[in-house]
Amino acid sequence: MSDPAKPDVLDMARQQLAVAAEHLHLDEGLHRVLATPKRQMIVNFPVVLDNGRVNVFEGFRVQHNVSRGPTKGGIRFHPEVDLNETTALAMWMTWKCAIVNIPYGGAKGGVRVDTKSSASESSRN
Amino acid sequence: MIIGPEMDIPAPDMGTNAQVMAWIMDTYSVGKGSTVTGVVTGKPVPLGGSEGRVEATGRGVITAAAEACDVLDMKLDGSRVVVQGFGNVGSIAAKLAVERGAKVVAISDRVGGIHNANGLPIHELIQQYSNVEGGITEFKDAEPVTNEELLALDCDILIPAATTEQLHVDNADDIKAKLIIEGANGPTTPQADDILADRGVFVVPDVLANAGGVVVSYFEWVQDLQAFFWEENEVNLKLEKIIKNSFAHVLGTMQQHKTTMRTAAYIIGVKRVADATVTRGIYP
Repeated sequence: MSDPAKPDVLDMARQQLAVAAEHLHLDEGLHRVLATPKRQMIVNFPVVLDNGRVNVFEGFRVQHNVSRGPTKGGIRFHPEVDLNETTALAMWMTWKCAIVNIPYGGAKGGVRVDTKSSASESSRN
Repeated sequence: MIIGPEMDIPAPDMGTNAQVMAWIMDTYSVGKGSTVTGVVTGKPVPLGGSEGRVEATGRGVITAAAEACDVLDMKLDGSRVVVQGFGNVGSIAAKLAVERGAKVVAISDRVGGIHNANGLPIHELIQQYSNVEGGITEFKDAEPVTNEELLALDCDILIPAATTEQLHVDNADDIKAKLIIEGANGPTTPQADDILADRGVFVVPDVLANAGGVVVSYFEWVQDLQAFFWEENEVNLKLEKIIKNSFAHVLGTMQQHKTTMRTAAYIIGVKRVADATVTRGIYP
């Protein structure tokens, strides 16, 4: 995140929202609601690796907006996943579902993990 | 439980796939005591997955590209395409572009990029170089290119389908493509957006261009809830119709507000969410 050419992705998502809010003359409070996720969850869960060692992984699920229906969004396994990025991606999912007019709000999840190391980890309920 | 078919429905993304979705479906179902296929999408077809789901994002990308070509008086057939990324989105978009007569002159994966002005054999790359150590860089009939060189190559259409913030303030002036179709989420920073708009580069934003994945995820969920499954052709036709209609709606909004495709798409999306929020009475 030290590259000045690359802003924080959540800032980027919020800048994009702000431009649209201006065009729409969106109410300031409503703008604030839409710039903020509804729910964010962080879990830490242990997994026994193939070599027998136990590692603890950090996982995130963000549900950005629930006004149009259940939330929808991918789960990524990537070493650079963090809460900010997951929130930005969840916000993008909200707009995406609304633009193509399918009845969902946006969500996104991620596990901070270098994949292809451990199999068979599953959901966080 | 934070996930569930009426609550929150996950899907595959970077690093996950149909097998991982099957594990999630199984874990959730064991907890519930019966099989609940609609809790995740992007599942294997025999476990409640949808035909056409794997290709859906790439298919949406190329459908959007064809629509954008019409706007710009370009033709997808015969155009030179550069694709950044060779995952589920980039590889399928490249394959479908070639099927529609385009020439993919460069492509990259997590190892590196390759370039051949005469066009690359995408089908062969997918078949033979997806799972080898050096990835597509092991293909010899092409010259290697760095990520920055790839993005600045002379071409008609650039499809960033790798990750966020690939087009930024330091390279937006070097882009030679006339048309950018965002296969990845967030590949263009707001500063780069402004530069590209000033330069007259037409950008079809992620929230429209790569929506094919979530559209067919929606179809999968609908099929799961109804326990009634569609043929691939039906899925593809319904997908293309939604992308084309959404594209036309965004284009009209763009012309009306005299803005970019991204802002126009946001105007539509944000307005729908804002209206739903207000109409429900949960705000203020």
